[in-house]
Amino acid sequence: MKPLISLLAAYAILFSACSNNNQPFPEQIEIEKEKIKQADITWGNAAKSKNLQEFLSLYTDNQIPVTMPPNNPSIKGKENIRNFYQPMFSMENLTVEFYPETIEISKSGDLGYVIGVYQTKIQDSTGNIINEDKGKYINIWKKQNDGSWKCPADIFNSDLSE
Amino acid sequence: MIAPEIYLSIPLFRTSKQVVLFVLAAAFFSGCSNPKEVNTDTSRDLETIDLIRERHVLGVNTTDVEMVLKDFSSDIIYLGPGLRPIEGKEALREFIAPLYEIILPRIEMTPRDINIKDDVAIEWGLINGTMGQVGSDSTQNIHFKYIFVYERSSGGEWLITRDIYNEIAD
Repeated sequence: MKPLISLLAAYAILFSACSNNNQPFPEQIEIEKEKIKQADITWGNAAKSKNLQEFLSLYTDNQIPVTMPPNNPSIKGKENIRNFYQPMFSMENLTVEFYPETIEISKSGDLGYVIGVYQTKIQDSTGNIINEDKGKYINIWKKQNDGSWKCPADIFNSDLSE
Repeated sequence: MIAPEIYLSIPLFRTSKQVVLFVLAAAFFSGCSNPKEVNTDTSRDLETIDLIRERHVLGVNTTDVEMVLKDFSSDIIYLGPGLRPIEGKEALREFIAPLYEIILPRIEMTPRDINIKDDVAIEWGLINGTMGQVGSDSTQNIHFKYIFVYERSSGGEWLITRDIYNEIAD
């Protein structure tokens, strides 16, 4: 029986090694999809709580990130993104909410994206809504060397016609 | 399928139980390895994606509905500004066919970044051009930013599966 066990062990090592050069197992893909979802939720919560530092921390460091808001040119780099969103994050009467709906990931498990919807409201001092918008977004997510997911690019637009 | 007798002729196996065990283990580990190749030749994929984008632009500029739809997947999600999401090729056809009867777009697409990982490619860039109307000489300049998501089908064909864009104010 001993030679058979040795043979089986060799077989196992050989094919395990081969599989490591291919895609992750489906279970691992599901884990990574969940990580993307959580990163996207954290991103949305940072926007909701106006935590600009945390919001910015979710953009890539190893690649110049770009955000593409409507009616503006593409904004590249964390400092420019900070400068662009700073006034919005300072508006106390603005509420922003993001809801991730669809999470997709490559078979290689290191590139994904989220399609979601957003809602913004601006209220006056008495609580009346003076401006409201609803729309959709795509956030791209890339797996980093430390296993975390960060966003190199995002875009959104309104559902409402002007 | 190799008959168990052949395995039994190998000195390693003394009983058919050992042969069955070996075959089961072999099948198990072969299945686990699932050797779908990770695509490392991205240059060919980039060329394909460039062709798809060029065909898309030609389709838009000639208001050829079928040419535009050709490179969209059946489950395309089209996220245009001022619109609710349009899901599926047929819904998209219903949206663009009547639109292409009245508009005269002339666009260029300039990709700024393309990430390809195995079966997914994500591209963002700029769309510039003009928009006219059938029966009118006047046009207006248009400037958009976009993200295209391409996915490779099981048959190896790259298709646009997600399309989102928004305006750049002049």
